[in-house]
Amino acid sequence: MINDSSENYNYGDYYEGAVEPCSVESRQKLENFLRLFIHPIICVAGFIGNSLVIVTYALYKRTKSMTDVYLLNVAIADILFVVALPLIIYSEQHSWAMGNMSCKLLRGIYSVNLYSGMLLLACISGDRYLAIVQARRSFRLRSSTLLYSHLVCAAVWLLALLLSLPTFIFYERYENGLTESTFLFNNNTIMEEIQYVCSFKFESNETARMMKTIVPSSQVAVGFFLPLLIMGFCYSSVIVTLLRAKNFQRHKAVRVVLTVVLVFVVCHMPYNLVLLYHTINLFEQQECSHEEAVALTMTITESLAYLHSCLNPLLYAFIGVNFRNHFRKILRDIWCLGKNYMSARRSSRVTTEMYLSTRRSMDYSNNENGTSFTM
Amino acid sequence: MSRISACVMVLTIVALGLLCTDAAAVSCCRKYTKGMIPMSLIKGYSIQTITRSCHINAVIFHTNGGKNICTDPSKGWVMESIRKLREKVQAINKKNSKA
Repeated sequence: MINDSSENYNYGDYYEGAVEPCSVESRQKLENFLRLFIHPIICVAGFIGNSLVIVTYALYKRTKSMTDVYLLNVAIADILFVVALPLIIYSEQHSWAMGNMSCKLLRGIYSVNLYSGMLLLACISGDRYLAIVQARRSFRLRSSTLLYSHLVCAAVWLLALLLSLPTFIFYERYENGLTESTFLFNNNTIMEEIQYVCSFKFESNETARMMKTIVPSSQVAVGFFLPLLIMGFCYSSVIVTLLRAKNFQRHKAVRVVLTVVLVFVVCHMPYNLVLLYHTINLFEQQECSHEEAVALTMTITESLAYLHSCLNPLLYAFIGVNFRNHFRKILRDIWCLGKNYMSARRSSRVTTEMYLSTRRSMDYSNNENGTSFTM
Repeated sequence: MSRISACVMVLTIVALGLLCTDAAAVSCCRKYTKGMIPMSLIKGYSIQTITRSCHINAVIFHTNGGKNICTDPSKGWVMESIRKLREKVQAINKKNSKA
């Protein structure tokens, strides 16, 4: 009798203070909403915008300046990102059925493009700094060594690959759930469906602590703050120089520069600050409500960062007069091809006129001397 | 061009919508229970480690009341409870093998 009372007392008293694993339900709902409505729009817009940039460069513009090389590489990085993202989403919904290699590859590509995309934006600001602030000094350098920008791009991609090695190495597809479960009676075990995740998996606690700290820290440091510092310095100098110039276009140029920097900060700073905060508190005990708030904020700000991939074509490529001229030429040529197909039986006089028109376009292209920054 | 874009967008949205189901989610302990759990309430345990998606090491005791209790593996009573539980499991297995 006494034992029964004591046990009941322990039972009731104990459960009031029980701490259980955190629920992930609300984050799950938010992620499903974003994946259903927001991410598809970002991926489609990003794919279309960056495809147009790449096609325009490949077919018409060629890369005549250092900035063109950087812009083309940014478009490539962004399009790889918007292709990898839906594949990651699909794989997560289907227990990564494509296997361990797709897990490593997709997560790795995601990481490489994050770094390369951000660092290339910093390179563009550096190039504009050289072109505008150090105009006389850099003229010979910029006009004679297109190779220089190719080398810089290669270095950026290589650095991005090196920084992404931990992701390629440690991300694995493995069975979800806790390890080493033991129950008194097997028939009491809940038969849960086996699911697979693609996530970090380490051999030891020491490696786990080190990598879980180093990887997000380097992402914040090299993937955001370094580009931010470079862009901040370069574009500040550009603005100062433009404001001193007598060019009637200077205010428009200043507005473009401010827009570029503002969009960069608005899209990427929230996520990187939350990631930094999350990393600092990673191994500390926390209330579930706190953990949940941080996770929700990370999910939202991460989607905001994704948005930059489909804004880049507008901010950098289509804002330039030269690029828009070439893009209009693409549309015109497509239209002409259509008309040509419909009028295939017309006389050779039309063919001759088309040839002359093409030649005039080529002459016009050769005479261009503006940069992508000319508006 | 805008018509093609619209079609691509709609198709992609539909495709992703069809694919959208609940992804595998990991519930992790983020904090430890302070008190001890009576041995009589425990029916099983699981190990949570930082080598995977969770960020603190923990022992999760599964209780008769359906609760999953997060406990600190550095506490002596926790490892003692695991040891006793393993002994019980071995005894039960031994009994079953005899039958």
